[in-house]
Amino acid sequence: MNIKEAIKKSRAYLCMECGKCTGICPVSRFNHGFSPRVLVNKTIRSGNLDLLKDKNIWTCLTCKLCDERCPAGIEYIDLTLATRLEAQKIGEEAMCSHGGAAQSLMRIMTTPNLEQKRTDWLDKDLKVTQSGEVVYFVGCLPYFDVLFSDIEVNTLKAAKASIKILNKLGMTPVVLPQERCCGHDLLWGGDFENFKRLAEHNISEIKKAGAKKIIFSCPEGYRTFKIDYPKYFTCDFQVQHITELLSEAISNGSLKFKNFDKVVTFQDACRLGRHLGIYDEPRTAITSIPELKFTEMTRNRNRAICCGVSAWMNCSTYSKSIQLARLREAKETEAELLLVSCPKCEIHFNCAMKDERAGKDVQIETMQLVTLVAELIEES
Amino acid sequence: MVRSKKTTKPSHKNFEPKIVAFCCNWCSYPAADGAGVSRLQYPTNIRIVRVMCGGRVTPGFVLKAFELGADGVLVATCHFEDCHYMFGARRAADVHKITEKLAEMIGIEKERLKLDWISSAEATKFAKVATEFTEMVRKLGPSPIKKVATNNRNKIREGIE
Amino acid sequence: MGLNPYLFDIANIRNQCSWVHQKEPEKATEKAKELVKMSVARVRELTPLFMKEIPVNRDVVIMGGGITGLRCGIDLLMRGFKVRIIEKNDAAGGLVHDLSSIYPSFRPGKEVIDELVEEFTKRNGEIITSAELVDVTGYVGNFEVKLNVKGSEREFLVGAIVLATGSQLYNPGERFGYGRFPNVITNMELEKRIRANDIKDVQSVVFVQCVGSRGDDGNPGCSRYCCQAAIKEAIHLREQGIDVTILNRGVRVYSKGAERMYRKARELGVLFLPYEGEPEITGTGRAEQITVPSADLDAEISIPVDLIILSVGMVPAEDSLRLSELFKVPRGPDKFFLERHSKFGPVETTVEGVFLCGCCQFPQDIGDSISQASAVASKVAALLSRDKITLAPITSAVDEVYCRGCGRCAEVCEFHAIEIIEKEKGIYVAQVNEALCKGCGTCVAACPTGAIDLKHFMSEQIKAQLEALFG
Repeated sequence: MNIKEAIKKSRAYLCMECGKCTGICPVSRFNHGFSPRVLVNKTIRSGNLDLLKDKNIWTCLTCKLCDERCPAGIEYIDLTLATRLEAQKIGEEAMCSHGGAAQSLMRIMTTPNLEQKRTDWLDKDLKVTQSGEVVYFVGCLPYFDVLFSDIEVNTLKAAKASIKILNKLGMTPVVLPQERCCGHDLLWGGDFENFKRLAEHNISEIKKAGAKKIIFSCPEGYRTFKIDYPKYFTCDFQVQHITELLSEAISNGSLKFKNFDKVVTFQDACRLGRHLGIYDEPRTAITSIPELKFTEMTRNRNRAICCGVSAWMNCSTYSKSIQLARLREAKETEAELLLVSCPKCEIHFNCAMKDERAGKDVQIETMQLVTLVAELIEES
Repeated sequence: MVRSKKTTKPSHKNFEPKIVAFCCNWCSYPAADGAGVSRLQYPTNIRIVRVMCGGRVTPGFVLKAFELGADGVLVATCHFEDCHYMFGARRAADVHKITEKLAEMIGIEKERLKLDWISSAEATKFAKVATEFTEMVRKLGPSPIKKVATNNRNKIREGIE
Repeated sequence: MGLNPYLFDIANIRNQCSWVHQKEPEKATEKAKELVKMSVARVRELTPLFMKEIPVNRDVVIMGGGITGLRCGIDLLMRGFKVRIIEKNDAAGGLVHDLSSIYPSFRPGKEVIDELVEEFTKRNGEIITSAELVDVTGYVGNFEVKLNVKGSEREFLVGAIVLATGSQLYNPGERFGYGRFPNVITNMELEKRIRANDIKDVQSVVFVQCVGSRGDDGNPGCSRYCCQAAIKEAIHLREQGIDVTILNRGVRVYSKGAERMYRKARELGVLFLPYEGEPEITGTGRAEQITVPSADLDAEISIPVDLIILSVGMVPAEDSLRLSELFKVPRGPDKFFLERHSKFGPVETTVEGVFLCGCCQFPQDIGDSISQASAVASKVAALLSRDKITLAPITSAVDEVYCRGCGRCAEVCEFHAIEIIEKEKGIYVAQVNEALCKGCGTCVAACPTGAIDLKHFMSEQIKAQLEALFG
C-alpha cells in the first residue's frame, strides 16, 4: 500500500484541521514539536521524501487517542503505519531503545530452524502440552525479563498466572517451544518483511500443534493476531484475550476469589482498549474480587493515557513526562496497587519509578491483572 | 532441551566462519597490533571492530552481529586490574552475562560468544585466543541464524545516490 | 586547514592481515577487502571533531602536611609553583613527627620534619593548619577549593590537587590485653617512650607483629613498615641490655638498608619467633607472660614479659571516605585511595589533575612515600607548565530530546563526568562535563534510550561497520 492509497483508506483527506488530535495527543502535550494535525497535512500535501525523512513519523505512540477524538473519523494510526512502512524502504528508521537489542532479537527470530530455549520458566505445577486445541501465546516475556533485569521486573509472572487460570478452567494449553515474536514491534517500526516472516512461522507452529484457539495475556500479541494477521495471511484459528475468558468464567460462576482488601486502579493498555475495544472484561474480573475497592483514574477506558513508548523505539524525555503524569494520576486515586494488562506498561512504569528523582508522588506498586487474579483464585 | 545434532557433526573442516571481535582501544586492540609486529600467525576469520572500552559493548552490538550473519562474536577487554577506565572491563563482564543469557535463549550456542581479557602486552594470547575461538566456531559450523534481510544503509544509499 | 583528523580511520591490514596471515595470501586478501569495506563504511558516518582548549591555573594544593606532603610541596616550590598545604591538625608533621628516630639515618622524626617545614616556608609555601576541606568543584586546571579554617571560610583556585592525607594506625581496641594491662602498648606509644627516655625496670620486651595487618582485622594487606620499625626499636632496646623477642608471621624487610639492620638485630641477640593464631597474654594487674603456639615447634612457647609492643598496621584515615566523595576519587577494596592504573598511572587518579602519594594510597615506608612525593611533583609540574590544556574531543554527548534523565549513565561513570540537572521543573537531563569525560562510552551502554552517544565511536558508526562486513 503506498501512501496515496493509505490517505484514501484512512480518510485523511477529510481532515478539517480542527487540531483536536493534537489537542488530545499525549506526546504533543509535552513535545511541542510534534503535531498529528501537521503530519496529516504534510502527508496529504507532500506525501514524499520530505515526509518519509521527517523524524516525527516515528514519534507517534499509535495509542489511537486521536482516532477516538477525530470528528472526521480519520484513522491516523493506520496512516502512520503506512508511512513508516514506506519510510523503512528508503532506510529510515526510528531511534531504537536499548541499543537495538530488542529489534535484533525479533529479527533473529525470523530464522526458520531456530532452537530457542524459551520455556525454562514453566514450573512443574503448570499443566501444558505439546499439541492440542488451545495455545497460550506467551509473547516475548522470557526475553524481557533478561533484557530488563536492571529494573527488576518479572513479566513472566503473568504467563504463569495465565496458565494457572487456564488449568483452573480445565484447559491444558499448548506452549509453543518455538513460538516467535508476534511481529507487532517490527510492523510498527516499519519492517514489514520481517513481520511477515515472524507471522508465517507462528501460523505454521500453531498449525503443527493442531490448535484451533489462541489465548493471549499480552495485548500487543492479541491485537496483532486479531487485526494484522488476518489482513495478510489465512488464519484458521480463533483468538481470545485471557480477560475475555475470565469474565465468561466469572459470570457463569466457575471462578471464585479470595478476599483482597486493597484499593486498586487499572491502566487500560492502548492495544487492548482502543485498538480492540476490551474495556469491560478486565473490570468484570477486578470487581468480582471480594473486598477489593476499585477506583478509576480520571482518564479511563477509551480516554486512558498510554504508557509512553511503543515498539521499543523513540523513548525520550517526553515518554518520561507521560509516564510520570500517568503515575501521578494513578496515585491521585489513592489506590495502593496499579493493575496493568500489558507487560510493556509494567516495564515502562517501573522504569520511570526507579529513577530516584521521580519522587514519592509517583511510587505505586504495579502488578499484572492476571497475576492478581491467579493469586486470588479460591481453591475448590 | 536437546542441542541441535548438527553441531556435533565434525563435517565443517572447510567451513570458514566469520567472527566479529570487539576490541578495546587500550588492551586487546594493541595486543592484535603486537601479534602483527611479532608475525604471530592465526586464522583469517577474525574481523576487529575497535571500541574505546569493552564497557561500551552492549547486547545490542553483539546481537546485531549475529543478526547480520556472524558465526561467532568475541569481546576482548583489558584485565580487570589493568582497565584503562578502571571499571570498564568489569562493566563489560556484567553486560556480557545479559548478552549470554539472551543469546542462549534465542538458540545461539553459548560457545559462539566469548569474553576474554587480553592486555596490550599479550600479543601471544591474542593470537592464541583468535586461533582457539576460530577453531571452536569452525567446529560448531555455520551460525543457526539465517542471515536476516534488514535495511542495509550502505546498499540503500548506493541505490539512492 | 587540512583534513580534520577525526574524519580519518585506519583499515589496519598490515597488523591484522599481511603480517599475521603470511601463509594464506588469498584468504588474507579477502579479509583485507572486508576490513577496507568496514573502514569506508565507518568513515562515511564520521563527523569532524575539534580539540578544545581550557586555561590552566598554576597553583597547587596539597592535602596533608606529613612528610610526603612537605616533600612534594618543596619539590613543586623549587620548580616555581605556588603551593599551599592543607593540614587538619594544628601543626604539620604527621606520624613521622612523633618517631624517636627514622632508619636508616636514625635521626629523630621531629628534626627531619622541622627541617622540611623550614625549607617549605623559606620558599614561600603556605601551610594552612587546623583546616577542614568543605568542598571541591571544577576540573583539571580549574579546581575551586573551599576550606573551613578555625571557623572562617577560605576559598581559592588551583590547577592540580595532591592527596597526601596519609593513613592512621590500627586501633587494637581491647585485643591483646590492650587498655587492660598498662604494659601492653602500641609501637607508636613505644616511640614516644623512647623519645622521653621512659623505659625503666624492663628486662624482657615482646613485639607482636601483624596486629591489624595481613588478614587480621584492619588492613587486609601487609602494612609494609612494621617489621623494619620493630627491628629498629628492638636494636635500640637490645643495646640497653633488654631481652627482645619479635613474634612474627614472616619477617619482611624489603626497604633499602633494612636487611643490614635485620642482620644487626640478630647479631645483637634479638629473637625472631614465628607464631600462629592469637597470642595469649596473662598476668594480674599487668601482663606477665605471653604464650604463643609456635609455628615451627609443635608446642606452645611462654615468655615472661615486662613490656608488650603491638606492631599495629596502617588503615585508611578516618576521613578517607569523605575525601573520596569530595574529590570523587575511588577507593580500592582495601579502602585506600585507588590509583588510575597500577602501571601506567601509579600516582594519578581517575580524576584528571588529582594525584596521590604516600600512605593514603597504600601503606608504605618513609622512603617510598618520599619517592612518590617527588614523582607526583614531576607529574604536576608537567601538567601545569602548559598555558592551556587541550581536551580530546572523544567524549560523550547527550541528545536532550531522548534523555529521560534517569541517571543510569551517571551511575556507571567512574569519572563523575555526568551530572543530572533539572532543565525545567521536574524534567531532568544528563549533562556531560567534557573536561572530566575520558571517552570510554560505558555510559552509552547503560543508556536505555540511546540519548547519549560517544563521539567518534557512535552506535551508528559501529553498526555501519558491521553492516559493511556482512552486507
